[in-house]
Amino acid sequence: MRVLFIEDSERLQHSIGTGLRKAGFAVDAAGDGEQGLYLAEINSYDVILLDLMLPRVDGLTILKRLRDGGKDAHILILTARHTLEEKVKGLRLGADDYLTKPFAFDELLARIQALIRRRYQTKCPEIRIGDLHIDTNTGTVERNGRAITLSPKEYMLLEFLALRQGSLVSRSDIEAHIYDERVDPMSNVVDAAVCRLRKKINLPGCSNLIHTRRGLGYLLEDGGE
Amino acid sequence: MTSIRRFLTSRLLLAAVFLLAAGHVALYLFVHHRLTAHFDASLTARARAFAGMMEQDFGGIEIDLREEFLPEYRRGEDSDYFQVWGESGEVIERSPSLEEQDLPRRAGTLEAPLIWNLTLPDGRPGRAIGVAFLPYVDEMALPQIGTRTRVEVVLARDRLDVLNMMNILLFGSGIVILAFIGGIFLIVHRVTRAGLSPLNRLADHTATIHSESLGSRYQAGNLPDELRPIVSRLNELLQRLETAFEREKRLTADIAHELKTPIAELRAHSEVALKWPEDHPFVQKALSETVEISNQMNNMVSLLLSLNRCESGKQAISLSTLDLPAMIVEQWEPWRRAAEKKRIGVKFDLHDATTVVTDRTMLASILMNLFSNAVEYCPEHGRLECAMERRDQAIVVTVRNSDASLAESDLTRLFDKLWRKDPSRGGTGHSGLGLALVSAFARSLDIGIETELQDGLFSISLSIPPPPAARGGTS
Repeated sequence: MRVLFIEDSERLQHSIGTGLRKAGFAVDAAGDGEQGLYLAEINSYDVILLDLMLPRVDGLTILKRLRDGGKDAHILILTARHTLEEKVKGLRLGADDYLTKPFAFDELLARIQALIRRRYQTKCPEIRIGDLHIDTNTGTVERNGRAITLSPKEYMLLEFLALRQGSLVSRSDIEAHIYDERVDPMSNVVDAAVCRLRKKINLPGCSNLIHTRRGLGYLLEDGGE
Repeated sequence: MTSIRRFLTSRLLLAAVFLLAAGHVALYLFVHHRLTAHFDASLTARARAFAGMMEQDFGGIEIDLREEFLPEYRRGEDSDYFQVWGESGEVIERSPSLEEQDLPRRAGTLEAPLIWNLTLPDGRPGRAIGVAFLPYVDEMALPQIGTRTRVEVVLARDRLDVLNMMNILLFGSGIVILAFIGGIFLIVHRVTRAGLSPLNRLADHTATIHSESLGSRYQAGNLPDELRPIVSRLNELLQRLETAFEREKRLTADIAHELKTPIAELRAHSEVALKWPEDHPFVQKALSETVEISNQMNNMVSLLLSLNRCESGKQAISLSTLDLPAMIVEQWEPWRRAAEKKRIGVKFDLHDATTVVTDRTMLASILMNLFSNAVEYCPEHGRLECAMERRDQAIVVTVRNSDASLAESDLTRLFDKLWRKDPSRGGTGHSGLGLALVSAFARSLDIGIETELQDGLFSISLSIPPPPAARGGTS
């Protein structure tokens, strides 16, 4: 899942960005409103974490311009402002959630996950595909009752495919949502990651769940081929 | 008095009642006096007529008492009375209505008769006139009669007509007065209500003002002249309140931002480091930044405490004689490298051996803050000047730098606590307390501050007063 973090505090950018990347998110960061707006307009993000008091272009303006431009990324406002008026204004302009500083990292993580569930129209934090069980709250994966250890990026890829189970997911979609702007778009990072993930979840005696559609993308479903 | 309307109504009503009562009493007394005078004139005329009916002859005093002339003295109801006494007090004649009773014997003269109130023998209230005179004597008979006999006559008649008239006047005018009082009460009540309605409108408007609507103002256009100065003052008060409230709101929001952001940074660093302790480079960086954040917060708290001490007059001031140019150079030194890095054109114009008497630490803090701001906000390749000059007896130090970001309207807010030109409050390591501290320290040291923005050059001038001895002081 790809997150844009627009925040002018370099320290917060560093720590929250590091934490989110370690949790498996692809994170792009912007230090001012102008850069943040540019990134939000050219990329497709699942969640945008938006500070309100930003240099050059303030957070509420970014929010309005994104919504006016038809961008449907879920936006979580992160700010030191805490008055009811400001919260209401932010939510009315199209924000999906509001978190005031200082906040707990786990709460931020939980809210991002909740926004992602909402984005993919699932309310249950547990996803089942045949004998594969994914708990999005704890980030754990089991197959046939056996725990599977995945790297954060592999887990995020699995969750991304699982949230679209039964649907074809293109390679570019995966790139756009799982990898941040640091990844070279010409690399075969997606193919390699899918290959690694397939090996890990295809336990001996279990059916293949990730199916490749050549030239089109990948499909996660039980008994697809 | 809790209500102007009640006060005005009661006082106006009392005044009206008093005036009406006084008028009523005056009218009563006047009418009473006129009626009594008229009654007395009639009584006097009757007494004189009665005297004209008396004659002294050989047989003594003769009175022509023909009943057709004096029917009112007959016995019966509503009769009048008279009684005549001779010189030695013997009763010469009395009216049939008196029967055997007597009237009081008192007398004046025909020219100045004695008149008084009395109760008539039949119990009615009456009025009597007493006159003493010498009855008519025929001049031809005077030699035979010898001495003339003086007689005294008292006539009395009831004064019921006068009393009835007075009673009618009393009760009639009383009713009219009560009606007047009722009418006046209604008029006063309505007039005061109408007259005070602008105050009610003012009160209604005041009731609608709360912290979120301090921008509203009273409209003086439809108010009476007497209330306009009040409304004008109220509007000024609202303006001051709004400004203070906005400043307070801004300060609270700024404090929240200035404190919450570093706390959020500390928390995020700690929580992420605790969650992934194996990421040593991150943990190391987080720890070193934690120290930086702590120092930054400590500096901010120290500045706030210094400001608070200064504003509450608890800042200790230790005066000493200082070499001002040397101190300026000393305080500039930490910023020299930063200025060189930004390729700022620096020019200092200082006079040698100029001394001032002031607090070394506080003046150093003022200069340090001014240089820090000048270097921070001066653009690359900009200008920075520091000049010193004597103006009257004071020494004026001016720090001037290029700054395209400031507007004329910012000058009034420069010294507000936590004010920053950039609403995002990000970027620099400045918290917005430096100039507030400069202002507070300068006030404590009696140093004047002036700001100016001209042709993209922003300047702050410090006017340091001469030592007390030079001013003729005795500190």
